[in-house]
Amino acid sequence: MAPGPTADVWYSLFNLYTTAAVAINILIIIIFIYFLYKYRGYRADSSAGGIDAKKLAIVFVIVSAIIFYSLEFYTLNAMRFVEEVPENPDMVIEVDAFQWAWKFIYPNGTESLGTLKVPRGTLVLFKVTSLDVHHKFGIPALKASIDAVPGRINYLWVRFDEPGTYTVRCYELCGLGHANMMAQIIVT
Amino acid sequence: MDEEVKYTVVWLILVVFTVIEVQLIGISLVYTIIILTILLLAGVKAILVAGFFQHLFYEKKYIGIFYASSVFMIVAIILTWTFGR
Amino acid sequence: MDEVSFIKKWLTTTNHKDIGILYTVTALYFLVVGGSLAVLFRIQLFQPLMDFLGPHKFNQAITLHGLIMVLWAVSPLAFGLANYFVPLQIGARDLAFPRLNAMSYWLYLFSGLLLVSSVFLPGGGPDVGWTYYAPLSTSKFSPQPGVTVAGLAIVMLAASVTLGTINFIVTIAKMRAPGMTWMRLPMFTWGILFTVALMLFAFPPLAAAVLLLAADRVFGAPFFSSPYGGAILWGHMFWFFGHPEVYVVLSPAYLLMMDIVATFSGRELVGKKYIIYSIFAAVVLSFVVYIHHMFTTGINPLVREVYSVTTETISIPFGVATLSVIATLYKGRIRLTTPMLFAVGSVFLFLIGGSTGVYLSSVALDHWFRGTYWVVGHFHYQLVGAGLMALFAGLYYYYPKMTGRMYNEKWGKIHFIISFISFNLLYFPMFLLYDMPRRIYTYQPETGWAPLNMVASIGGWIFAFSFLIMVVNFYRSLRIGAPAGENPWEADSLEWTIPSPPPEHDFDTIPTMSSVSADGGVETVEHVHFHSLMPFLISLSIFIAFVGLATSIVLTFIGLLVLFLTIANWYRTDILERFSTKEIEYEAYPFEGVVKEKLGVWVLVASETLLFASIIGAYLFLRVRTPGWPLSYTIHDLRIGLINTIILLTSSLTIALALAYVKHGEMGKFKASLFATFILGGLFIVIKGFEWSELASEGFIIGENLVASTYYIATGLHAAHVLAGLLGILYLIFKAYRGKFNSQKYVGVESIGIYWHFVDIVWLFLFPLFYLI
Repeated sequence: MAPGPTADVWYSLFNLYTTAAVAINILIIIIFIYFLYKYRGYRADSSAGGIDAKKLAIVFVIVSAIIFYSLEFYTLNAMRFVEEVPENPDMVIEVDAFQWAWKFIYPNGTESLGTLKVPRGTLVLFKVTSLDVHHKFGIPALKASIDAVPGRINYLWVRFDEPGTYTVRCYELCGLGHANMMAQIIVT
Repeated sequence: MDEEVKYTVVWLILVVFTVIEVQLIGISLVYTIIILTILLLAGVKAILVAGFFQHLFYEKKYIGIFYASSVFMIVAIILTWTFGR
Repeated sequence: MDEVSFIKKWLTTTNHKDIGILYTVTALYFLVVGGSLAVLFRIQLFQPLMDFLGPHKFNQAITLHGLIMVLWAVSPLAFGLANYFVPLQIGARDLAFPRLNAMSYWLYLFSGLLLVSSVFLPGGGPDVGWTYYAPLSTSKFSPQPGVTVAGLAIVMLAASVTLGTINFIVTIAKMRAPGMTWMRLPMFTWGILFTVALMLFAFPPLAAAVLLLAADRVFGAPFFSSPYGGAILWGHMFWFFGHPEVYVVLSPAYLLMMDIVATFSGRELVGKKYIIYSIFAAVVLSFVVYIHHMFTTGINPLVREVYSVTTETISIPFGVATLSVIATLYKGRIRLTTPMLFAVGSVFLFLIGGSTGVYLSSVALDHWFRGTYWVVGHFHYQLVGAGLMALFAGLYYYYPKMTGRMYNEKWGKIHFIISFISFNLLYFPMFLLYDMPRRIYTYQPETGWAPLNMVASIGGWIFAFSFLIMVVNFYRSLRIGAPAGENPWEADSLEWTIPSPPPEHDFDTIPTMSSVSADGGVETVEHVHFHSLMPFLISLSIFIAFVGLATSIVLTFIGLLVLFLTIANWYRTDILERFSTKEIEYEAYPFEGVVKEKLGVWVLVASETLLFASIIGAYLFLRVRTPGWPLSYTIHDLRIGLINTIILLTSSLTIALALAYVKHGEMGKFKASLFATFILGGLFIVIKGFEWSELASEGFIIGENLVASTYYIATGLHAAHVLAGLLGILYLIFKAYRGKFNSQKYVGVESIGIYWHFVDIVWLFLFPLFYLI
């Protein structure tokens, strides 16, 4: 079972892209290797090969446009789902990123450095900002992430469906402590 | 000489437009209209300088296209940067 | 040849083949530097919690690795081949401006040395990532001078690139042999043409961004530390350059690969016309995809959706091109030589890199991927796999032509097999590490990332080692390789019709073309290659001046003095016209009759337009976001602005008249007009200086706030251009008094006039934006 809806959406989109990429690449690579093998030192027809390049190009453009734009359609759906800021979140948490730690501020004003406790199944809205340089707030298990930009508040919603301890990491180079800029989210 | 007359006329238009730009400041109109008018006048002046002084009107067509492509880039840059919040 | 004249030859050469070799060797040197850094940080990442480099050294290593590889190694390697082979492929005997070409090279070399030397400054080299993200790169968070010096190196490189861009565009447009139409150009020349077009529009925004950052770091001007979008502004400015730069690195290699595949398939490329159209479409599109680097910054969703669609779209033209390459193999006569193996291998890697890039065009997937190793894996497949591997193919392909000897084929194939396998060992695990953040110097054992990192590190070390196989092979074959002959690969472009290595003057007669291969020749005037030490001296003096900025100001003055003397000497030799050659034009559509110098100035103007557009764009970006920005006319004295505008407009009139007079042979009025232009331009500068000192005495100084900083940067950059224009007009005046102009010979007046009018046009926009509204 996936730990939350954001991860569900992300992985199903990822699998869709991977299916398309693997299928197309295998097809092309098989043709490629077959040609390389078959026509190695081949001496028959060295001029034209009888390929109508124009037709080939047109067919390819149409086929690939259909593939790419249908992938894009699913992308835009997923994007709207994960980016839609919920109107009535169960909990609004302010996240202040700074060199090199995360500060969480609960709705009642309590501050916590590096640890956040949330009950399982709550819809949490993070209001993410940075106090100094550009950071990126990311929760790997939920595939949920947003930039922490100085002077700007970005919104990110998540729901933890599974209890456990989740790691938060910084995903934008922010100086010497970048590698160790982590926090824990404890879901009970 | 023809050019003397032509260039001097263009120069006069440029100067008059510049004076108009300055005079527009401080009159009572919606400020957006003033800004747009001033920028429009500046654009016309730029076209006059490029067209007559830089001879762009008399050059090979492709030099104009080349130049226009960089102007297109500018519009792209300024619009995306200014309004891509 | 004795030792002294050997050194003198290489320092003063302006021959495109010599400069091509200099570029290639220097690029390979920087490749070794960048690669060694990678070997070091792969040791640090080999196991969890390794204690080898530590965060400070690690961050410097990755930053320099990125900067060197992207800007100083892979792209210049392509330009080494381009210097050597573009003139040969189009049937010319050199580039359009040989001395500027030498200048490009020396600026490139010294900018690279400047970058590398930043490591030895107190506080070390740049450690903010090659993307230089602000505000981390501002003086508040990274005060060490190394960051500034590396920025200056980038500005120097941008100058080198701009000169090279002008040179190649004019060369390819104007110097093609009779019958060498656009569609008959080999793909590599097309690749370079696309690349320089991209560079022309991409580098000015980078230069502008770095200049603003330098103002931030030196004068405390708060552009990127502004809380009202400073960080986002850096993203816009950097990635407007950064995305096209990917294609700058990729496209020469990608199109060179097509020439190689066609040669070793024994047939013409299938659908060459459609490939060219496709790449052209990709070049245009590449300027409207860069927001995908900013998908997670939270900017306007509509902008991101549009850019997501354009990014998906850019895969289509590359798909068409790749498909044509595969179709070329069909019923061909395939010979799997080393260059062909590398070319075909690069197509495989391009397929994988391209597919993984499609994931990144998806906003929803990129939300996660941004900043992870997936991105690292993707762009290394593109830049190293598709780019560098194809350039290696090019090196093997052209080695016989450049040296006259064959390399060792067996060791070439061994190199391919080892590098192809180790490449995949190195980069494929990175896709599986899609939870690991980029640029972390260490990770914990419980993350489970250790095995994949271990594989990647081992692959990386083998990949680095495999490079040595090529170096040794090339070095040994210089003496013991079998003679290559004119055309060892049975290829049909022009460079294969002349001896290997080509003679000093390249072609005995200029070839004529009635199909894709040469079928005759025309006699032309003898071509002379000049020698000049000035490109070297100018670049060296700029290098010394920049080093002085970081260490001791005395060095800066010495550098500027040498620079001044060299430019004065350049003037002297130019006015004596020792370097002038007769211009003959064959195939120049669509620029028939447009003199080279004039076309060059037009190209320069297009690039400068983008520089100012970037500065103005940054100003408007900050202005619409910053609350309480005062209206300009409340700060500035409108009368001074008005007077200066009219002065500059009048100077445009006088130089336009000067051209008209010289065309009609009225030399007295011509000289008077030039003189008037110089006086008016000088007056503009004097009034500007007076105005600045007034403003400064009122406390309106750079670094004080955004209003003052944007004003001084924009008008200061413009004033610098006016000064450059004045130098040009001074040159015209000297030349006019020496009687070097007449009613037939006035291209200098026309070219500098175009530049002067451009500077005027810029002011026409700066005046309303900074004085009125």
